[in-house]
Amino acid sequence: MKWFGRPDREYREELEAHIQIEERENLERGMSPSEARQAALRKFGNALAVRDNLSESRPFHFWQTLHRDMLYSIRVLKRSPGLTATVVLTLAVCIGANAAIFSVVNAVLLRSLPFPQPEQLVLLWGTGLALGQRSQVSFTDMADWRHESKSLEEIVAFQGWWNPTLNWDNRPEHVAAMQVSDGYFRVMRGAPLLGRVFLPEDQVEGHSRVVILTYSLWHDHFQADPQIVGKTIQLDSVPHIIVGVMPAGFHSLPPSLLTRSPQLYVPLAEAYDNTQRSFTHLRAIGRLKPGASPEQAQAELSVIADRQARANPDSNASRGVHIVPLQADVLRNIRPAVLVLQCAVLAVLLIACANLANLALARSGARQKEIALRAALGASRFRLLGQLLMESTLLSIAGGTLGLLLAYWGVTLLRKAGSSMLLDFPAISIDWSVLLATGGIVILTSLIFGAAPALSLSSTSADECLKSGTRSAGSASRSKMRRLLIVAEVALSAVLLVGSGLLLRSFVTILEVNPGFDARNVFTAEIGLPEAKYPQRRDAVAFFIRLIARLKALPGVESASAVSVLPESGKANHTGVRIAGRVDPPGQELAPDVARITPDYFRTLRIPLLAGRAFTEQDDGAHDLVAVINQTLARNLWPNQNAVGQKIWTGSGRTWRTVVGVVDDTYQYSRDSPKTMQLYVPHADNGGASMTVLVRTMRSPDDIAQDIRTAVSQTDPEQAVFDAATMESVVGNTVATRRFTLFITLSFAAAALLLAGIGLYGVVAYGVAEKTREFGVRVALGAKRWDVLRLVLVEGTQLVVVGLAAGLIAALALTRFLSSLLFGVKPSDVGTFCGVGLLLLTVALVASFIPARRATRIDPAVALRYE
Amino acid sequence: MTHDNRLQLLPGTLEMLVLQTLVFGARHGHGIATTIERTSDDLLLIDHGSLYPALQRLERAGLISSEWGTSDNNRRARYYKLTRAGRKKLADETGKWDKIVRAVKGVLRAKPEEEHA
Repeated sequence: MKWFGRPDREYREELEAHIQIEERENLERGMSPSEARQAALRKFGNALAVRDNLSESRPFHFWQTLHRDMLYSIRVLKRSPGLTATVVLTLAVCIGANAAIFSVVNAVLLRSLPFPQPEQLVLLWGTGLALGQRSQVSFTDMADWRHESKSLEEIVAFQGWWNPTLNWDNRPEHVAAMQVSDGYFRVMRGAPLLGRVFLPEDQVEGHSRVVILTYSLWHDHFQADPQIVGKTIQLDSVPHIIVGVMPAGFHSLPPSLLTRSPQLYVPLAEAYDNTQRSFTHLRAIGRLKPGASPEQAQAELSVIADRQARANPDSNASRGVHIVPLQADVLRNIRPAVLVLQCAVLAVLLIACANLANLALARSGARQKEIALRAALGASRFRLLGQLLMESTLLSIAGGTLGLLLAYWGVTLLRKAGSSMLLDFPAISIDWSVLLATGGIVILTSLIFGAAPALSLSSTSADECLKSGTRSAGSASRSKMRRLLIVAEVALSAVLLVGSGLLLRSFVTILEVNPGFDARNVFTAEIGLPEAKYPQRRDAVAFFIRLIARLKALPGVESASAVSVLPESGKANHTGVRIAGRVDPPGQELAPDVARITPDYFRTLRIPLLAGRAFTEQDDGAHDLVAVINQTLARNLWPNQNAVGQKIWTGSGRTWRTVVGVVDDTYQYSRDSPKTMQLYVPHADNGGASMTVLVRTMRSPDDIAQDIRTAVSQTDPEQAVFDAATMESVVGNTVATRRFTLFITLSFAAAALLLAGIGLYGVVAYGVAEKTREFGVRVALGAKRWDVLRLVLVEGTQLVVVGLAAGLIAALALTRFLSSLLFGVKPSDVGTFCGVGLLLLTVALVASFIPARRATRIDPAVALRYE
Repeated sequence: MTHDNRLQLLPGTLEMLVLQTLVFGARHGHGIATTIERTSDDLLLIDHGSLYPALQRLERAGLISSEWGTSDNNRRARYYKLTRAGRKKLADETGKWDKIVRAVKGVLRAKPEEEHA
């Protein structure tokens, strides 16, 4: 270790040379070799001591010093175990929270998706629907892109909503299937563990049906049977041949793109409505050729889409394609939330550091004499600084280690609490990069809160300090630094509080939005009838009529009904509509959400009927075809007219229907998304094999769930329900991400407020203790208690006002980054800013009041003797 | 050779002696120590251990310089030699020392003086 002058090694060599010369002379004098050596050493004195003498100035005995400083620090920290424990715990909680949140950031933003060359994967969405929302694509369009594109090596279609009943060993079970076109495994770079992947001929209708198992299904359900390939399983009572098994390392697409993680793959049969360009019910994913950028692909495909639009004006006019890298698509909704959380938790850590720095400053004041004594005994300033930093480093390392343990627990908690938001990122864990980042945080922490007392030390000289008796020197610079730290703390807390306040207001605003229906006491369950057993529309209709009748007959059931797509489920079906006397440009027809419902649907969800009537059992298609529309659609189609009695053409059945009723709006996606146009048609005339039943009852969810299962199996013993849940939990899911973000930021803000309060209290209390004599003099000279109280309160509040002003200005600049997370509240919401100001002032007053009261009780006789 | 009749150096004189030793050419640490001992008829006791910090101080003050060399019996040793500044310093110190010695001697040999009222 070379610091100044020659390295230590050279000194050792030089001293050794000296001893050897002496030894040789001794030998010449006739001593025995061991005598000669001993005498030489004796004459030289203690060689080690010499080296230590030398070390005082230069060959820096770094490790030795470090070791000694460490032992000394441990002794110092042991001397005040309570304080040490408090500091370590504070750090542990803050560092632990940072590590836990960073593990989310790491998994979500830093780690790439678990596919080979994930940056080449792009999703291809349809654009141009009147709603402005991105849409799915048709098989035919996708096939065109695939053939014509030069920048993408492969494009495939997939859909993930089929949940067939798997029948194996006579144990029926719902499984999640993903339907993919044959190139899917090429795009995802997946090679099978057993058997083969799909071939183009697997897609041909009439070809024997085939299936590929995921590793987990193969392992859990088929006991990892190595002979599984070639065996036949029943999916929705249709035989499928197993042609392959994928390895464990083959990951599915993020679940948010499917309805759930697939357990098996089946080919997307070409005949599946795949000849119509208007049937946009698929999603598409492609892989860019090496070197091609998403922008190039976008430019190229836009041209292709334009050509498609000109060639097929009926279906494709003004329809385009939008290319989104897979990673960006997955992060779309959660990136801002995750970043906000990381900033919030870092702010809390900084506040904690400021508090600890303050604590360390107060202690360094108390330890002034010790330090001065060490300086007087010859400790260099460098050594003293090292000593102080060593203490903060030890504390940080202890806090960091404990924090990591907390983080392990925190990550589990985050995974559970944030499951809906972090659905696509099951691999949130503490890995080496989290450990590395935590190590960085530990170093940062020890520097931040070790630096404050170290800096104040540098403005103090030893002799000044020893001379100055009790009144510690350097206290002016220290208290200045303590004030600065408090101002910074308050400012940071203000920013955090404003941020979480805005999120809270948004959340409350959303909860206050009238959903248009009453979710309480409604239980839902999904049923998907297999096409093999219910090939005809009327079979499915009959099933649901019988099932609903059974459900209505259950004790305690107020009403029961079924719907194809639940409101606020985030899912929707669309259909183009036309009315007489209104010509929309092709491709820009209104495309409301469409739902098939049974007659009591509006009654079950208590959706208010605004005009006309709801459906009845007679609306079964045998008579007039009817429809019910929501208010938004009514306003769009017939502004200032009565919608009831009007005729509407719907694309899905290609028929004219008579509007018989208008109902209030509900939200199809979530309450923070815009209202959509909605069209309801009777299930009885339209059919539909996949429906969600709704039961309004006062009975407990578990209780009614059991009864619904019984009713379903009484109607058809081969059918099972899935996704049984209360309507409130379905609705809750749409605000789950908000609730999660809000919950965490609120706890961080609360922690920040608490820390700032404690910090302020500490500074004011310390100030009071330092000024005991001054207050004594004031009281002795006739100052009233109120004067003393005011003096202290003003001092505390001044700091807060300065910090608050800085914080609110910073918040004003920063909250616009929150805007994508806000709903119904501006980033500069005056109420929130004022509220935060009041809150912090209140905390400041309380935190200063306690020491202020102590100041008023000072007995001048005691105070004047106090030091 | 007993230690009883040997003298401890006065503080601050070691440096001067080291400089003086180097007047006649470069020497290594051991050589300096033995030269001082020999030229003082073994009366001055050099604590070999304390020699090296002294050499360091001198080198840092620019009064001597050093480099590795080979000793008489082919051993690697560090050789020290006087710098120009060292020579000047030695002259100053020697002059000062002579004055002190003279003054101290004068005091020690002085006859009792009469007190003047």
